[in-house]
Amino acid sequence: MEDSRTESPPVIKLQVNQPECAWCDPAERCAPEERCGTDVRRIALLGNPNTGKTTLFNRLSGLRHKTSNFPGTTLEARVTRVKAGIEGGRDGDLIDLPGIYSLELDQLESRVCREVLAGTAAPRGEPLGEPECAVVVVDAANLARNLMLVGEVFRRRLPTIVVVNMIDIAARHGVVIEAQRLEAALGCGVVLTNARDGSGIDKARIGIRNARIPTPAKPVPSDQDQLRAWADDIQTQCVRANRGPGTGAMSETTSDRVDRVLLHPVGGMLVFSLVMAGLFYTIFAVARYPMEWLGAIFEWGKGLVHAHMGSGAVANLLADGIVGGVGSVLIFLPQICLLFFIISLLEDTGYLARGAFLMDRLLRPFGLPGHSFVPLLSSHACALPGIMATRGIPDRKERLATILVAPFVTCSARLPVYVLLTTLLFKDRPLMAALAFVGCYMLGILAAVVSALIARRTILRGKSRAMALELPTYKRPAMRTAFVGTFDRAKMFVRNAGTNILVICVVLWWLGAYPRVEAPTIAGRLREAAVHVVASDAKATTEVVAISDSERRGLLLPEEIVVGRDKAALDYTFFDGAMKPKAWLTGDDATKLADQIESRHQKTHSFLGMLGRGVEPVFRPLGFDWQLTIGVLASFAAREVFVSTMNVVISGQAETPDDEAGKQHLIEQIQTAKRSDGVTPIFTPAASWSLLVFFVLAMQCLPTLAVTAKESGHVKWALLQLAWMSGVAYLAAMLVYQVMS
Amino acid sequence: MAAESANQGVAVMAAIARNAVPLAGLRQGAEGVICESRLDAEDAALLKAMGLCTSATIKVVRAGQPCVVAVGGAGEACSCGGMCRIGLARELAERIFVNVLA
Repeated sequence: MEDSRTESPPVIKLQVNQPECAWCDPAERCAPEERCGTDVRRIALLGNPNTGKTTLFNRLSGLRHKTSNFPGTTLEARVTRVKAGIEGGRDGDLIDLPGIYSLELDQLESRVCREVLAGTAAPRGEPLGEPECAVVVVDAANLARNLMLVGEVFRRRLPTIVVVNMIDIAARHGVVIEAQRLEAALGCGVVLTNARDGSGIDKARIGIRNARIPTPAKPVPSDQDQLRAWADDIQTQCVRANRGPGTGAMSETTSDRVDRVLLHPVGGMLVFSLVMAGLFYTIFAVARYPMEWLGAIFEWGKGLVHAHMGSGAVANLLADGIVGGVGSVLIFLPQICLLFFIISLLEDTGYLARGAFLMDRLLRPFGLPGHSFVPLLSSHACALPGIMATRGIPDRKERLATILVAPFVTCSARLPVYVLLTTLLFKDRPLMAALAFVGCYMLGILAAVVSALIARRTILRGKSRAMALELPTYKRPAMRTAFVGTFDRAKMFVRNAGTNILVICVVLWWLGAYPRVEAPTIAGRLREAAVHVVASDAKATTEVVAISDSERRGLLLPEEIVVGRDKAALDYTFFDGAMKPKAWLTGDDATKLADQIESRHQKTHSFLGMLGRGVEPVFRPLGFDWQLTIGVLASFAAREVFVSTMNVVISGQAETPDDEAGKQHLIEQIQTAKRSDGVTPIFTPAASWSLLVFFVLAMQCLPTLAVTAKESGHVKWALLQLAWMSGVAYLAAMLVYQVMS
Repeated sequence: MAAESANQGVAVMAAIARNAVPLAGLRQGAEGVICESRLDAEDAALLKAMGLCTSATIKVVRAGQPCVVAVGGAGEACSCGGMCRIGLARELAERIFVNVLA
């Protein structure tokens, strides 16, 4: 295999006299197109899909790159500061453009590339201007087709360098590139690289520095058909094929044999199901451990804030609003990292392209492409990474449709709510509870695909493009690319959590925590009694706390509570649904009860509580009373908040107890909790079913809306998602309640 | 003279087209030359940029859904070097017509 060139590229003799600048090689004069003396050059990196462009970009950038998008589009743009070549020169901002087959196609990707090369578009936050250098990455094994793109770039008369990548794969197939001949034919710098192992990268850096306007041996034709002949001609001159017997062009490769299995309607689906089950297991089960660790860290952080700052307004904001709120979203970071790491590995092996074909048959009837499968599957863990994973969907409308419907599928945050409601509905019938659980999953999937179909037939109408995909040769995935890609996604997620989601969490916390109201007197009396008995020396010391009828309203409290020291003598009979006239409590339990009463009182009198009472009429047709309405409203921060909110509203306990007896006790409390009339249960079967359907279908996750707005490029899509999902959920829940009651 | 040559070209193309079969109808291992495609402009432009243009040599690597083809050209200097594999949904493969070589 011939290695990349060692000589410097041919120097274009320039007629224009221009002073040498401090940044360029003193031995050469600068091309007039170069803006000498400016600090940073703008370099465009482009190429066909599957040419290893991203791997090359990562080699050049390491982890130092910014990710944004091209304005008005959802196309991802990455920019990195490339240090000057090893022998000096100027730094450059390398812009990674989307992979395209041609600059002349009527596709968004091609248009963006055309505009960047013309200097009329730039990644968000980058200055506009024509690039000073174009780096075209070509696949050594598919040279002629790739050279057509090179010809199209040459027409732009920009200083250009051609990077012939993946020379290792070409060599395996007996294809040898004559680099010097290619350089002479193209009239520009040519570098041979294998970005996977990093060979040739330094030469690429030098090549970028020395890039000049190309002067091809044969002028680039303006006609596309003639351009093909031009490219074929150059390939004939510059490629030697050392193929052995039986290995001619188009001969069967190992990838072809593997594809017969992996694309088989039965065998392929079986393998794909196993791979996806592995992916699902990893993001669900394996990610659980780091998620628990993160959860513990945030709890520790909250405790630390309270320990050092007490429980004042600032401490509460910091601990519950910021640490607690952002923590509840950041806890999904392990899932996001694992998901993108595995997707990147699968993509790099070439398998994901095959998977897209397999799933295309399943999803196409609903107007979604096969590419939508992984985002929809990922959304079963959490819609945030699912929506972020839609970047792999090439068609804009299909991508928007996937983003809009992804939150319908059951995410892990809904699970605690399903557990609570199915337990309430089928208390001693685990089989029925399990069936209801599965039904919730199915309802979510059905709602997603039907909504996608409606969207594709109305607002996102467009031809469902039949799939044509290049199937890259199977290869070992590059860990470095997977790590860099994962780091990139994690950084974006954390940045989002630290900005939009932080604001959302703080606002929702504030609505639930303010205005501060005076604690009910019963709580104060219970605390006093607890302090008294604990301070007393005599074991038999007791305090009787009498509770008036007005104080007992809405609370499941007895008429009298006796607080004593001796635990064994006390009968913990609270909230058991059959109140005795007297109840006994230890000092600690009395303090806990006082906390619960205060917490409940605060919640029900907060802005959120007021809002709950205010909008209760809206939710009345669904069978929700004001307490359920508070739970539904609070769960807009994150769905799982519903359970803790209901715990607080009904019992005052924020945390679900760890022990089984405690859990049962709480379930009983919730089950027997009454509406304001003191007679009707909050959770009637009709209301429970209605609530379950509502939670399956409703958009109750503001962080998801924030990500939708970001990924779709416009807030209107987030608003549409909110309106559509809420509307569907409302109508379905109302139907269920009205029919069942 | 020019008109006569154009007419001959049309006649040759029609003759080729008469013998043409849809790509979707080829067996695994069959080789052919693309002679016609009845795709809409956008699909046709994309496939052309991917190397599936009129007069390109193809070999069916996998028949069925998807149909996978190896794309070649004239001799060794083929547009995709013979190693490029393109998967096509059946709807597309049914609209691409090929003169079978082997």
